[in-house]
Amino acid sequence: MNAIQIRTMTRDFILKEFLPGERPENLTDSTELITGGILDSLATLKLVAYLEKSCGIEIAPYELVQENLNSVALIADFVQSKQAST
Amino acid sequence: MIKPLSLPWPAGSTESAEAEPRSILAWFAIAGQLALFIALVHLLRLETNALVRVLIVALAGWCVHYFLPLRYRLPFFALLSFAAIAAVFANLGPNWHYWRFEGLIDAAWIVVIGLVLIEITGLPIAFGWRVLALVGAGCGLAAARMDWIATPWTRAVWPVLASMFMFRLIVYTYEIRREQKRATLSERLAYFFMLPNVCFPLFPVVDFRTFRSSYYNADRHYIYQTGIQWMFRGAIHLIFYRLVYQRFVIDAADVSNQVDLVQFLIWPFLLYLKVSGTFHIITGLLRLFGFNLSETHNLYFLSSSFTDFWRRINIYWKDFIMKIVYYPFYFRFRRWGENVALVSATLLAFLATWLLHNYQWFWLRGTWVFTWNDFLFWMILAVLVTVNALHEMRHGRTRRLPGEALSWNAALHTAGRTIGVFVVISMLWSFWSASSVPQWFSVFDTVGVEGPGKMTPVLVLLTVAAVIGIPALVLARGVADHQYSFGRSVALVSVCGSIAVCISLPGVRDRLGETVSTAMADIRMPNLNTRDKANLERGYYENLVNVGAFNPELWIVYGQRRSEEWKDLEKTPLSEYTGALPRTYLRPLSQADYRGTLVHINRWGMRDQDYEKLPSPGTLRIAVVGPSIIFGAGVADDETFEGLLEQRMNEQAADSGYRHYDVLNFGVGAYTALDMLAIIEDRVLAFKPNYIFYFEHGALIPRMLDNLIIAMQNGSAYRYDFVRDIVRESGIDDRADPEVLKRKLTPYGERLLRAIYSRIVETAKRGGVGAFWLYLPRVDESSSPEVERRLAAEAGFNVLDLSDVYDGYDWRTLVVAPWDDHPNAAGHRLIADRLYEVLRQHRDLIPLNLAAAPRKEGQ
Repeated sequence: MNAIQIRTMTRDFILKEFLPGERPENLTDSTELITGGILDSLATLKLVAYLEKSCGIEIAPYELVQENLNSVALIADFVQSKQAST
Repeated sequence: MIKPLSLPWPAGSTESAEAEPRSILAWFAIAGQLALFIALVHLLRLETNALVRVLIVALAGWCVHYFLPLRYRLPFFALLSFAAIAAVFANLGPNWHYWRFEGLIDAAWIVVIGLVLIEITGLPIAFGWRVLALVGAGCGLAAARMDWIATPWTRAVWPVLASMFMFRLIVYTYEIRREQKRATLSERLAYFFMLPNVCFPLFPVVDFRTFRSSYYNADRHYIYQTGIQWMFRGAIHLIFYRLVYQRFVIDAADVSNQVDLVQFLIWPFLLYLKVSGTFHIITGLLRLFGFNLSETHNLYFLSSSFTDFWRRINIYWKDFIMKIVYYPFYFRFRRWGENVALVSATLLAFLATWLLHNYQWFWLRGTWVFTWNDFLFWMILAVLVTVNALHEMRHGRTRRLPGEALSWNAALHTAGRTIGVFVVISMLWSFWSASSVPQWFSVFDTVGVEGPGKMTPVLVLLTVAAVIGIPALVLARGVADHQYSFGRSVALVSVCGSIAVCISLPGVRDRLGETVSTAMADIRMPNLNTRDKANLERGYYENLVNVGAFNPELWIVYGQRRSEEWKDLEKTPLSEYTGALPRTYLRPLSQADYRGTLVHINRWGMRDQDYEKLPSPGTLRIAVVGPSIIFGAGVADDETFEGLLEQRMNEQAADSGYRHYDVLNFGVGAYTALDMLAIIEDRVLAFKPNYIFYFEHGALIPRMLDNLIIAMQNGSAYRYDFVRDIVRESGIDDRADPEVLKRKLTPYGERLLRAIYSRIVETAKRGGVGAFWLYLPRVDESSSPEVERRLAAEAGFNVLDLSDVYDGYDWRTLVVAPWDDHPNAAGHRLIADRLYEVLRQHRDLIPLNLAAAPRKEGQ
């Protein structure tokens, strides 16, 4: 799965689950998700479960940090690095 | 929100920051705003003197720091933090008379112990052994904290050291196990010895990873200016806190209708403004040195759900618990299903929060606090958050992107939920702060407001709903998402800050009318009467924020208190406990240091010169009874007003027809009406006075009830029929919780006082003694005791009024100390002068034959 695919599926998931009714163009790759209040702890856990299932990776608790999850772009980079390491 | 001057760059990219242009204008703007902030904190006394010293160090340091290349800024910040510790502990300031070089020993110990702890985390041994070594060091320090081991440092060290290490060591150890790039020495020193901690012990948790990764991760002028904004916002929180503290606090015993009930339920939560204000100042200060930390306590009164409240209030704590407890347990339990994992992890997170709050209490105060209120508070909050989280997990929650608005329907729902959450959290907080569970439940038996004001509770509730609901609606509609430019932000803060500083200047505020002047006095004066202080100090955070309440040594370091012990009279050798009425007597022929002066007690148990028991022929004898003002708390033996009055009367005795005047001081600190009745009956009359002067100041009835309850519970109050009658009629069980008893006795307050006054007057009359009731206010007293005055007159007292005794003087110049509102020597001279004049003017009531003698030089 390449970076563009991961970004697309992540964005779609966030729009569907957490921002229903929001215009897709408002959620950019650099929109702040954690510091912007979109990804709270529950949403993070939902997203992690989705990423683990869809991308075949396993995420550890200590990896749930802003550097990995604060934007669609960061999430895609993180998922790719996890896929590469497995 | 300030619009960034340039786009953020990825963390760790130093080249961009190195190449960042410097702007002298921006430097002036930020330094000027910081100077304004220091002036505001100083003029309004918003915090301790220690904060002012730290801010001055920060301002001087920042002016240099701004021009340093990035690679030197972090080491410079660490050095500045050490300088702040030294400045606070050595009390360095413009007046070198107050410097305390012995404080540098404590400062050095903080640094040495800290360095040892940091060194343990980096020992070249297995991770498990390092953790074990840290636990061993922690146990050793805990033993010293409990005074099991003698230490070469004072107790002032503990809260500061604890705030730096008690949680950060846990976070740091968690991170180093996984860190890919070892933290530099500067990073470690800056993290642990963080500049603001020396004056804010209640800021222990910062995530190490965030601390590192947020360092200059955005435009630096944006980071600095946001920091300035937060600091001023913190000042606003502290100002509102002071106003609530002075004007809104109500004791459970005083709750008599639904309006009082609403007030009682809300004020404890509002007092959290103190914590949120200090957190804003701390994080703002850290931003000035490049740490782009997240905003904490963001509009927490406007939380739209319990999970939202948990996310908004102290996000540093929330992040800590999520990282250390919640996520690890959730991942461990999720094999049993999402809901099981969610419920278990949430409950465990709150259980850990409760335990760790006790752990924090131990390190800051040296004791443990396991109370039912505390445990139930955290567990009820846990259940509310868990139920809320389950609901959100299933049905989601309404979110919006910054700048976007919710629909009117969704916004109205959000506003409604916000009001509900505010009400529930307020109730929960008041429960947490109550002195006992029965006391909290007892306030709900409040009767309704009758007559024309019966709609008042509804109006009050509607006002509360509007104050919370309208801003919540505005937020949900995205109206508050304006972006300000750097220039506009500087202009706004500078103009508002300048206005606030101007209003705070003594020469200006006194010209702005009584309302402004009184409000400013409320903001500047943190003191409350003893009863209200006791009431306030029940709250968890009040107990930890108010350093003076638990660590006198650190309070001295903070420049707030002189080195003398400032004990209550009952805790000195001058006082002996009777277990009856009055509850204490002064110990005959004792002497001791009390509130900065040596106090002597004569052979009869009076703070006075020696007298024969019976007056000599031709002597007119006056016995004065009253509380601590009469005793002369905080002034020397020869400075009490009764002594000065006696001296002045005797100076003109030759022309008066009396050979001598005796004024006997039966005043004892903490006496109230029942104690005074007892001492008059048991002791005063035996000295054959011609007159008894019974002194009172405001807020008598609540204090009287406190003492009455003690006397009821030890049985001594039942020597009086009127006490027995009230207990019988009301069905009060004197074994009940004292706070519940006080609530039940409050409606009988006037009746009790009337009975006591009547008995004093009857007793005096039987002995042929004239009884006078005199109102003598405390120095900063604003209320007038109309009820007590009326009851005294109805009982047959001759009533005299000294309410204007301090008129024309700045009351701040007449108090014993900033934290003690008893009159000082100058105040006692004013009282003696005014009392002399009042007695001379009322010669029809009291024929003392006093001459209109000119005041002595120097009085």
